[in-house]
Formats: sequence, structure tokens, C-alpha cells
Amino acid sequence: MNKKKEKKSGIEKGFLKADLWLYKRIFGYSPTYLITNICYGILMGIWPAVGILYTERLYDEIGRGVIFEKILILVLVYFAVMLIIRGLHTIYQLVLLPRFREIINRRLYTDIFEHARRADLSNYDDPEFFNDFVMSTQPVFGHTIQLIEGTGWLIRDIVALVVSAGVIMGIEPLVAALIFVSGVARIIISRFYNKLYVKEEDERNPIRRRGDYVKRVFTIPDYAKELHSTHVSECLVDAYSKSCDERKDIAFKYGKKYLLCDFIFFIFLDVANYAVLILLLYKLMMVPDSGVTLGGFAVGVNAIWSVSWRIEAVGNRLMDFHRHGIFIKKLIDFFETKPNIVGGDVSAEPLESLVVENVGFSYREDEPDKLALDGVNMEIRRGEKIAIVGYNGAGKTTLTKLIMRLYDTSSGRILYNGRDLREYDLDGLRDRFAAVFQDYRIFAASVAENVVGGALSEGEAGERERQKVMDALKKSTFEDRLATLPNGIDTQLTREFSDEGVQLSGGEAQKIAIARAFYKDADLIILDEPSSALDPNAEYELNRSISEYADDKTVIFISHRLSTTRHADRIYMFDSGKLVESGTHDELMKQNGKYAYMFNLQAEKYRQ
Amino acid sequence: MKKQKSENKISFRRIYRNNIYMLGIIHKIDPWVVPLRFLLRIAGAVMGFLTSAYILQRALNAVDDGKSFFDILWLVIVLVIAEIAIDLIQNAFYHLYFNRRQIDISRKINIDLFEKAKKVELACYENPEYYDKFVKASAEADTRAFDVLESLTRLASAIVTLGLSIGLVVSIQPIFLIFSLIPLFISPIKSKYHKASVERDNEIRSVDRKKGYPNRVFYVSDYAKELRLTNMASFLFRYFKDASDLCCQIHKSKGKVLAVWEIFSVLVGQILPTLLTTVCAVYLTVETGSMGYGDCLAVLTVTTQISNILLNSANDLSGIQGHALYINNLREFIEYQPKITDGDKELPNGDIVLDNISFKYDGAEDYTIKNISMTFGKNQKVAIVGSNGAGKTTLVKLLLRLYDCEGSIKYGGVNIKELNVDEYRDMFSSVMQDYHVFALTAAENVTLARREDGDEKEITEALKRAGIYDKICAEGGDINSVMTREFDDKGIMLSGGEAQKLAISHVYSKQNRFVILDEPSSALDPIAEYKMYETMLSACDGCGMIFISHRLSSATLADMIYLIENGEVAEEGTHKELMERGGKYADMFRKQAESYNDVGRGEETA
Repeated sequence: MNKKKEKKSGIEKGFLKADLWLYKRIFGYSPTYLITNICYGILMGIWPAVGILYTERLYDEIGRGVIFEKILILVLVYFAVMLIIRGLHTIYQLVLLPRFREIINRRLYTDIFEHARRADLSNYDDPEFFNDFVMSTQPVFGHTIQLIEGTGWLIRDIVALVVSAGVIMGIEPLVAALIFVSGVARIIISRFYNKLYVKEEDERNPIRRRGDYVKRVFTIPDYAKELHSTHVSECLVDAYSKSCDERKDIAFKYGKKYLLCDFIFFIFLDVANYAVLILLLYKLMMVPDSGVTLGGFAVGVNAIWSVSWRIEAVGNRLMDFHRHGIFIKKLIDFFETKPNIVGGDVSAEPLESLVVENVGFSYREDEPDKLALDGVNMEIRRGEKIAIVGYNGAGKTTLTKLIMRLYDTSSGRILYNGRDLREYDLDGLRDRFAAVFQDYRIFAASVAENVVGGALSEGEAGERERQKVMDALKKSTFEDRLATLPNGIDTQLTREFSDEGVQLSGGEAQKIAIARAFYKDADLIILDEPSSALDPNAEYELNRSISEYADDKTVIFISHRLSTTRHADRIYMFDSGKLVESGTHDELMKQNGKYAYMFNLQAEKYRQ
Repeated sequence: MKKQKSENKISFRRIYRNNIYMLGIIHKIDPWVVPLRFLLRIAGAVMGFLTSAYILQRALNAVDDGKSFFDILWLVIVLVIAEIAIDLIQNAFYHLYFNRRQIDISRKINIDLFEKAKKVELACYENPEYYDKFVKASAEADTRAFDVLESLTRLASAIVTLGLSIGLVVSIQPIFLIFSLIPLFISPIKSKYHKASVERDNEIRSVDRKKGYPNRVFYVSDYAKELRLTNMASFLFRYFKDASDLCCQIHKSKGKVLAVWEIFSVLVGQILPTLLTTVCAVYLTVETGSMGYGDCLAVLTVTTQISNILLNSANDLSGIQGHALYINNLREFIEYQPKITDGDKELPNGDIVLDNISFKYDGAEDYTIKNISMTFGKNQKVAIVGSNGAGKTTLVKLLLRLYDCEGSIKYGGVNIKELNVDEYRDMFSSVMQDYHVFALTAAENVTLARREDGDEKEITEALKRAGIYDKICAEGGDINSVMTREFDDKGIMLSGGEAQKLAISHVYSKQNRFVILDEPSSALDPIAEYKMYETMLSACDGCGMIFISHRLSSATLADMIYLIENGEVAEEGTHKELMERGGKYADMFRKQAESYNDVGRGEETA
């Protein structure tokens, strides 16, 4: 029992710390946002108390038969203040809050994205981290504003509660005690309720995810062809329906428990409040000198309800802080995840040599034996054209990722100009490399921006950049298509933002990605299956272009089509993470090993 | 412009009809839900009134009239017990009944949407207007229907409470009826407010898309590598900041207008009637003495309550307007009549003949397919080759009748428009270029249809033939294992090549008349590719096969080759014929063969 308590208070402290962390951060973003909310809370908290005092005074004056004009002034003043308060409230809600929220949203997500960009790529392979990342940062804005604005509301409720309770105490202390006891009882029940809710969510979420998956498949256009030409929709609908049934079972299971909570809750609420009413009525009618006047009675009855729901509101808000704290803790964890891949301080000179020394690598920390690469040795000199070939899943792409230091090796090391990669400044090192990935992406930006990989400069520098872009596009054999684009290199790509955006075909998009590599003027160009989306003619053109323009560059090709790679200075053949053969095409053919088998198989159909 | 207008403006008639439409949907699923919910809400409202305003008035009058405490005690006790009972009944119904029905309702609407999405032609996915409707309808399908019921019942209970409270006040002094009518004048102000807020929302929405882009990019692991190797991130940040600044500006300019109308409506809707009632009640009590003290207090207290009810039901009113917009959207999606319709002719047998077909995508200027005529024999192996963007994949889509085209496609002499769409499509097995692995079981990924009893053997066989069964076993799975880690941490993950094999296994799992393969070996290594074609050819013995490939070595396997260029058939014939002809096909083939043959070497260096 004692132990349990200790653990619980540990969590409580944790969430408070998390909340404080967020306050500090938000204060850094916009101090006025925080201050405005606190002021708003205080003002709006005093107001209901003013209402009670006013009502009591009004009823009292009417009861005492004060002259009409005097009461009229009281009423008018009250309503004038009410108008001002409501006006301030409206301005706060409609003018101030939206802009504050916008600013917080921008600052917060810019920080999150910036951090995400610096995070290790391996994090994206780890579904748990990735889920955490999405789970914690997607809803964090909602939690942030709820926490900050909730603070305002909490202050409002507490101020209102204290003032109103004071007023009721003045009328009848016993009443205040009764309301207090029932309020505390209800807060305890709410906590139970909340815990049940969290448990239910935990049970329901994995099931809901299944249902949401089906919804997503139906709404994403990519899947439409398959949905229309097969009956897979039957399976999906069945899966969806099953998830609904399971959710229903959970709803029923917890429904019974909720009902019990509600039952106790309402007993406390109703019994306490009506007991107060009866008590006040009894004093009013049966005890002549009790001090409970007719006016006091009317005010008291109204105040009971408002006080009793405010107690609850304060309880709920405190619980909200707990809830937000859990989310914010996840955000803190996210911000505190320091990348493992950090640069050293040596700046990378132009590439002379690249040595892969006994490199092993596993994607999965939990299964380090599952090696994607195992004992790989390679040596690449400046200007060489290297081909990496092999079966699906042989580890070809993995190796290039290690070379670019998107991952660090699990064992062994990679030397750049004789020095370990890890000693180099990361940005500088990556600037030496250009890569066209198998799964290249086109951004919703102009052709030029896509080639540059960022914004273009202004003025003369921009002009030079544009020239370079044109040049790179020419080298990647995109020129012909460029001529057909409405605004040349300023043409907006993808339909993300406007229906006039140009949608490139797979092969064309790939050429843009290749132009990116040319533009970068890097020392080492890595082409991962550059021709997979290209037709034979385009492939032929591209290969010629690359061998022509990348003459002084070091190039690593990865390809399934062995015709592309046969002229390489050296060919490395991979099989299940191991380097099995290496040498020139002729050497490997003479060896008559795996490479020769693969080459012949492909060539067979062409030799007739 | 016109579209926007109709989207925002919605008549009262429409609001009413749409909300009723939704109640109709709920009613069809369970006829008890709607009446029960209304009944309980209204009962709650009546009880709420009795235990607050009514008791108060009775008590105040009892004191005023000098009645004894015990005269009123029994009334209070009876009402309190009734109130607790109603509260509990309401909660019991909610937790034990309504919340499960809510899931049933959302299931019905979602499945209706799914089925409609499968029925409409593929072009709808490319039509942003229609697609947008679908996304919107789907996004809120889980909660909207029940929200409609909640809003309407809450509104009904507010009206009941309001009616009873006004009735009470008016029964004390009829003149108060006039004041309670003042809020009726609020509607022109509200509509001004509403107009401004719709304007603001529209402006914000147009920016939101831009603002959301960085979000879409940063959360997708596909982009992770590029973001690390290029400077695109800072570019996206600028995007984000510009869009966010624009939002601030919109809020600033529109917020002020909204605030003015809002304050105005508070003044007319709440402050004025409450103020006038208060002054009048005080006057009648203090000056003329025509109203008792107890009555006066009852009027003042109830007036405050009325003003609170008005405040709350304003939210429900605008909620109902929002529901109407949503339902409008839902109905437009559901009631859309697909352009690809079923015919009633029986499925014949024979060749597929394309007779002079042309096709243009919606909104495109140029035809993607121009006057193509070709024949796919029922036992023929046909290869379609050609450069990127020539129209090969489009041709496949037309063949599957995912779109309708100009000219005619006939199967066994019957125009395919006269056949049942599902029956027609069922005779094909196809593997698309952009195949997907579904987060279903391995078996379902093979059948791509509801499982049948005793199909395990066929499925296992299909997986084996596609060369993927061993992989699944190696991961410790079987045909009932869930694929992908979408929601199962133990799900089986496949690489690109393995996924393609799984997609291909579908072809082996059923009896086909035709097999369509769109670049079926793009992710396969040479050995796997070789094996795939061997297996496929033997599997397609006795059925038609149509395949698209960039690797011309596979085209040599075909009985017939069509070279498509710019949407037209440029060359056709067998491999031998085309090579002899020495045209574009021969040129393309030689280029690819070049590096494999030793003759090619000299040309390259030249």
C-alpha cells in the first residue's frame, strides 16, 4: 500500500514538472499569451462572485422596499459592467486567442520539425519511436493551448469558488460544509471515472487503429485501382466490422462500471444539494432569527448549484493538467532524444579515398544477430566508377546509407581520406555526397527549388543558381520535358497546393532527382537503381549522360540491370549482406561465379 | 466562385431536411434510439425545471403566504427522488445502450461510404471536388450522426425548459412575454456574424493546406533521407512561417468584425431582455406593489436561468447548421450516380478486341490514348512496350473498365459496357505497377477477396509459386499471419521485391481468363525475374496474358508485341517480325542488348 502511494506521487511530480517545462517554453514563445490568460482567469473569476453579491443586494433592497430610482441605478451599473465584461471576453475569444494560438503553433512545430530533422534516421525504422514521435507531437498543440488556457480557467474557477463560498458562508456556514463534503466526494469519484477511462482507451486504441487503417485505405487514391479490380474490399470491410464489434464489447464492459460511478456520483450531488435546499428552507420558515432572509434563500439556492459544479470543474481541471502532463512528458522525451549520429569537428576535404573496413550492420538493436551487412571490405579511389550488384535484400542500399552516415556501422568502420567518418563535421561531409535514392521524393515546390534542394538566392547569385539548375537538368536529360513546362524551371510541381501544379511521371521525377545530384557538384555520387522507372531509351540516354558528365566524379551505381554496370571500374557482388565477388566485368565473368550466372541469365534473351 | 457560395449558404429548409435525413439513417438502424433519446432528454428537462425554478417559486410563495415548512417538504422530496431517478435512467441508457448503438451507426455510415467508393469510377478519385467530398464525409463519419442526435435532443430539451420557464414568468405577470420576444430580433445580427465567420474560415482553410504541408512531409519517413541530405527543411520552414503569418492577418482583420457583431448580439439577445425584465419586475414590486416579493424573486431568478439557456443553445444552433453542411456533403457523395454502369448481358467467352479507342483524362487537354485498335486473344501472350508516359498503364485501366473510353472494347463480340462490371472484372487477375501490401493476413493478400472454406492449400501453393512462402515461414509466420506493422508489432515486413512477389501470388490463387501484369518485375532481381516469367507462363497456359515491361528481354516471350508511343500503336508484330523490320522496337532492343553483347562495347567508346 505504502509502496503504491510512493509510486503514484512520483507520477504526480513528473507531470507537474512537465507542465512547468511547458510553461517555461510557452513563456519563451510569447509571454503575453501566458499573462493574458492569467489576467483573463482572474477577471472572469471575480465576475460570478460580483453577480452573487449583486443579486443578494438587489433582493435585499427590494425586500426592504428601497425607492425605485436607487435600485434602478444598482441594476444599470451592474448591467453596464456586464456589457464591458462580456465585451472583453468576446475580444479575448475572437481577436486575441486565434492569433496567439497561431504564433504558438508556428513556434512549437518549427522546433519539433527542426528536431525531427536532426534525429537519427534509424529512429524512423523503429516503429515504437516513430509511433511515439507521431503520437506525442501531433496532438501536442492541442494539449499546449488547453494547458495554458486551462490555467486561465482554473484560476477563474478557483477565484469564483472562493468568493462564492465566502458569500454562502455568510448566509449559513453549515451549508458551505455540506457542499464542501459532497464536492470532495465527487472529485474522488471522478478520479475513479478517469482511471477507468484511461484503461478503456488503452484497450480500445489498438482496435480503433485497425478500423482507422481500413478507412485510410479506402480514402487514399493510391489504393483505388486495387479496390476496384479485386474483391479485397470484402476483407477490409470484414476487418472493419470486426473492429466495431470488439469496440462494442469494450463499450459495454466499461459502460457497466461507468454506470456504477455515475450512480454514486449523482447520489452525492443530488442528495447534498437538495439537503441544503431543505435546510435553508427549514431555517427560513421555522427558525425566525436564523439570519436566512428570503433574498438570502433565493441567492443561496442558486449559489449551491454554481458552487457545486465549480468544485467539480476545479477537480476536472486538475485532472486535465495530469493528462496534459503525460503528453507533454512525451514531448520532452522527444526533445531530449539526442541523435547518436553527431558530427566531429574535422571539415571534409575533397574526396580522395573511401575505405570500408570490415563493416557489419544490423537495423535492429533488439536483434543484433540479424545482420544486414557482415564483414564488408571495400576501397574506392577518386574518380572511380563503382557498381554494386546483387539480389534483393543483399544489403546494397544499406551500404550507401552507411557511407553517407545516415546510420553508423555496428562494427568495423568507414574511412574517408584515411580518417573515420565519425570525426567529420556532419553537414560538411554530407555536402560531399549526392544521392539519388530508390525512393526519391519530389517536393511541392518549383522545379528549380527541387533541383537546388532548398530556396534560391536573390539577385545575381540567384541568376547563377538558375543557370546551374538548367545545366543540371540538361545533364539529367530532363531538357525535352522542361521545354514543355509552362513556366520553365519555375513551374510548380505536384498538385499539393494548386491544380495547375505539374504532376511528373515516375521516370521524369527520377530525372529531377538525378539533376539534384548533378547540381550539388558533389565528389561522390550515389545512384541507387537510377533507371528502375525509366524506359530503355531513357535509360540508355541517362547512362551516356552520366558517364559523360560525371567523368571526374566518383560514382557508385546500384542496379539490377547488369548492362548498366558492366563498364564500371570495379563491380562488387553482394549476397545476403556479404561481399561475395569483386573485380571488373571481365574478371568476374572469368571467375564464372554468381555474377557470371546472373549476367548470363539476363543476357540470354538478348543474344540471338 | 459559384461552388463556394452554395457551399456556405444553406437555407433553413435544407438545414431541417438534412438533419432529419440523418435521424432517418439512425432510425433505420434501430427505431428505438431516436424516440428514446428525445424522450429521456425532454423528461430530464421537465424534471430540471421542476426541481429548480418551480420548487423555488413554490417555496418563495409558501414563505410569502406564511404556509408551514411541512406543506412544502413533501413536494421537495418527491421531486428530488424523481430527479435522481431520471438522472440514473438517462445514464443507464447511455452507458448500456446508446454508446453501443453509436458504434453501429458509425459502422453503417462508414461501410456505406466504403461501398460507394468502390462503386464510383476511378475518375472520381482524380476529381478534386468529388474526392474532397469523400475525404470530408469519411473524416467525421464516426461521430457526426450521433452528434446530430445529441444537438437536436439538447435543443429540444432547451426549448422545453425555455417554454416552461417563460410560462412560469408569464403566469406571474403576462407583460414579461414581450421581453422574452426580444431575442427573436437577433437573427439578422447572427447571420451577419455567421457570414463573417464563414468568410474567415474559408480564408483560413485556403492557407491551412499550405501550412499543413511541412507536417505531411516531416512525419513521413519516406522524406527523411532527403531532408537530411538537402536544405529543403529550411525552405519548408519559410513556407510554414509565411502561411502562419497570413493566418494571423486573417484573424486580426476578421476577428474585429466578428467581435463587433458578437457583442451586439449579446446585447440584444441577453443583456437587454434580462435588464428590462429586472427593471420591470422591480418597478412592479417596489413602485406599484402589484407583484408580491416572492413572485418578484422567482421572476428574477428564472430570468437569469433563461438567459443562460439561450447562451448555451446558441452553440447548438450553430452546431446544427454545421451538421447540415456535413450531411449535404455526405448526401452528395452517397447520391452520386456512377458513370460506369452495369449492363445485363451474360458474360461471353472469346477474345478482347479494342476497336479504335481514344481516351482523355478529365481536365487534361490531350488524349492519352489515340485511336488504338488491338486484339488480346484468349490464349495469347501479349507484351506492351513503349517509353515512359506513352499510355501503357492507361490502356490497362481501360481494359479493366476502370474508365470508359471512346470507341468500343468488345469481349467475345459483346461491348463490355453491356456486361456486369463485377463479373467482367472478375475474369482478370492483375498486378499493378504500384501494388500494395494490405495490413491483412498473408492469405487475404493472396486471395484479395473474402476467404473460402478449405482454401489453405491453394493459397499456400500460390505463395510457393511466387517464391514468397519461404520468407513468410522464415519470419515465423504462416498464411494467417498479419502483414505489415501497421497495427501489429509482430506483423511481417516485406522488402520491395518480396512485396512484389506477394502481389504476384494473387494471380496464382484463382482461375483467370486473363492475366494483366504492369511491370511485374520492376523490384525483382534478375534471377527472381527469370523465375517469375517461367512460372507465370506455365500458370497462364490456357488463359490470356497481357504484360507491360521495360525489360525487353521479357517481350521476346510474347506471341504478340505492341509498341505504344504517344498513345498510339507505333509498331506491332512478333519479336522476330519487329526485329526484321528494323524500326523503333528493334532500335530499343539493340540498345538494351548492347551492353550484354560484346559487340556493344565498341559503340560505347566511340
